[in-house]
Amino acid sequence: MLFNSIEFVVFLPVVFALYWLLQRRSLRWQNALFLAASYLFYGWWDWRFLGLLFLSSAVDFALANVIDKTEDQKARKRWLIGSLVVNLGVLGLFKYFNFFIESAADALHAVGLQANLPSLRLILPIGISFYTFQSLSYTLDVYKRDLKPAKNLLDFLAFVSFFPHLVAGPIQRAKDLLPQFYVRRKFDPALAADGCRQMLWGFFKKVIVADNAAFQVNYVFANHASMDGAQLAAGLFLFAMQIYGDFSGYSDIAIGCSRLFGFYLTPNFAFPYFSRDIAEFWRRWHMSLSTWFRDFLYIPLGGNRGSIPRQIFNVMVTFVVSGFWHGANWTFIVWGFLNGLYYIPLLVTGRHRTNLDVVAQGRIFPRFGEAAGIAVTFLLTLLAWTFFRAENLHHAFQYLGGLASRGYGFDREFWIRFGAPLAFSVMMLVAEWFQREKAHALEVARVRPVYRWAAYYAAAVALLLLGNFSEEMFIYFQF
Amino acid sequence: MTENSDNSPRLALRFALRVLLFFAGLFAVYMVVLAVFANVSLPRTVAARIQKTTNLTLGVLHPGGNTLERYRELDHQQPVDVLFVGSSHSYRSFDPEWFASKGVKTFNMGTTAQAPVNSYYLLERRLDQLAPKTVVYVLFWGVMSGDGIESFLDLSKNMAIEPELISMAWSIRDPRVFNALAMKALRFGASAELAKAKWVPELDERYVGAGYVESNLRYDGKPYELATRIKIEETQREYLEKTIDLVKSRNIKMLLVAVPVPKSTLASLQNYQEYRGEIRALAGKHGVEFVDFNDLVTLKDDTHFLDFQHLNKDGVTALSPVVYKALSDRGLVPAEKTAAR
Repeated sequence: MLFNSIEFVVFLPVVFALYWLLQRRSLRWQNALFLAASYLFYGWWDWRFLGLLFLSSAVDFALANVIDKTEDQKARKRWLIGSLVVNLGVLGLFKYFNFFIESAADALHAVGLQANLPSLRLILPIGISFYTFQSLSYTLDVYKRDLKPAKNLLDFLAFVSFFPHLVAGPIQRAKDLLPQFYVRRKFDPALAADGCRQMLWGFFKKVIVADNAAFQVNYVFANHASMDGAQLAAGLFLFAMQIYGDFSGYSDIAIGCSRLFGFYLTPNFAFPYFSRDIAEFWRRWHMSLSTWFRDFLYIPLGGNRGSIPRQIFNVMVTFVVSGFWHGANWTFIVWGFLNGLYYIPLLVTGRHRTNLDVVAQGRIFPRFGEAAGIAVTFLLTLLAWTFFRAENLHHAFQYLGGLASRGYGFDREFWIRFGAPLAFSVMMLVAEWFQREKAHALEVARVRPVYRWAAYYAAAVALLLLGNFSEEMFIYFQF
Repeated sequence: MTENSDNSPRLALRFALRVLLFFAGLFAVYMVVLAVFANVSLPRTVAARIQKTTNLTLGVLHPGGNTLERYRELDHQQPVDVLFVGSSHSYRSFDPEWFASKGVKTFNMGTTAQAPVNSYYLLERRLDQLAPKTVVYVLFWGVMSGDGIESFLDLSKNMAIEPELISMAWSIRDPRVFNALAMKALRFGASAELAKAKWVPELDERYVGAGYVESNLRYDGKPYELATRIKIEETQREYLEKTIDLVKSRNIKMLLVAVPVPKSTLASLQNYQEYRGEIRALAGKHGVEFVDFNDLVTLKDDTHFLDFQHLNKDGVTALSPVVYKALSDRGLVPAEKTAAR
């Protein structure tokens, strides 16, 4: 089920009403309802995917309990490896099998050998990368003794399938979300109201900014050979806006929706395009995935301990694997690699933790140095986004070549095509700039009611007037 | 979270009522906004810009397509032998006068970009009135890949608000169609305007009658402009199947067809054969046949076509006997009479 669909408009209030009506009855009933609602939400795409979701959850529930009861360290490790094999095996099969087969075939072909290797025609289950990582974080935290295992299968299933964030995050660590299923949630009107505001802002970013940009982005990338430099630049800029609006919009909707049910989800984005360097960007972009890789890959590899070459190795492996998580294509690997390369100079010079505060805190405008940092960081991310969006490496290089070599004509045709989506993007960036010290752009509870309500109505009317409701899928669903 | 006695259900209910109040207020505000746009006259260029950027459609008539003339005629149309349905590929391809000379009475219900989600509701309303012996559904891959919104906007501009339009809007479920309906309802004097409206033809074309539009223009070779990879939208697939079932449930014969397009257009499509295969399979599943007239007639791109996808008058003249033969070989038209009925 998509958030931007009529089905969800019906689903949400029904679940909300039943959930709070059941609240006085028992916690078990509340969690059971949430589990049923989450399975309905996920199964709406394809009920066949429910089996995999259940299997992944049930295996980790069982293994975590075994790990917790086992004292012998080697045996604990073996059970953990079992969980890793099952989860990553499922992910590998559905997401990466054909990639490895095709890459192997290409490699053999390059040395003059022909190979008739089998490939699988499998539909990629929506959100598989998200829920397997979430479930894995559970067994890993139990193994590390940071968390006691769930005693109740129902609570655990509800935790893994938690519908607001199931298909595109934020990836929640078990120690943050699972305990929330053990206590009866209480309704907090102020939190729920802010949740609604955050959802409204999320829809604005998705339906107005991202989906309107998507139309032009698809056109430019599909016809890049006949575009001039200005059109290619606009296409790339709009892709940056599309992926941010789409993904952070989804996160805002997920976090806001969770608050309606008394749950707290950790933030996933903190206005990353206002970052002054790439290290800050990665502290603000898809934070739940970054911290997952930090805790379960980067730190076990050694993190920032050891020699500089070793640290560089740890950083590059983490970024490349992170890129690969996004998709079974060399373009994602190159994207991750590029971001790693950007990070290295900051790491080597010890400047990777300099910009820890909010840019231009307490001021309206950034200083020249801050503005320059923001501009350079944004341009670097744009370069990397080219690979993220392109269909293959050849496509990406052709696109970049066109950007570098073709003329730039900002003529009437340019503004007719790109004017509106560019304007929507600027509106989003301006709103978020002025609210960059808040959790989201519509966190306006302290503003005078008349202005506040005017903002809500303006945003909602804008959604209906300007929103693209063609049920464009959220980009990160494919991951 | 509050620590006091737990009155969460009551607090949640009060909150839900506040949200409901917000949506009620939003509805009222939005209707006012739509009413303003529905009734204000804007310069054409401004209206075009607003229409391109927002989910609003402005102006009285949707240009192109002759829907206004066609549906005025349709309101008084008597039963026919063959009913043609579909997009502009339908209403530009079959000359009723030619078929009448063979004793076959036809009407063409095709409209601009009409997709199965549109056709289904139009047929649901008109099948009993027109009581055709045969329905010929003209398929165009462009609308099979689309959402039906363009057709809806054309229909809603040129027709009164009828139940089939409302059902169609619900099936499409897009703000643009709901806005179009609401704006039509909120426009003062909309019915009188529609009654007085005159459609002005574009290009070198004329409305012949019985739904058919004829053009003498010739294709200048401008390349195909639409997407080259065909992907059938699930909604259109679903409604094509529903349309077939609807027609067959009335014991009416049906034939799915594709009309000829320029060779250069066909060559630019990446997966036309795969698309045809899908249509054939769908048709076969419902016991109807799909005939692609690109296989049965050879036409010249620079002589028989108006643009990259439509036939001109010469093309229709060349196609007509081929269509008639295909229909008569299958017993889908009455036996030829020497004089028109």
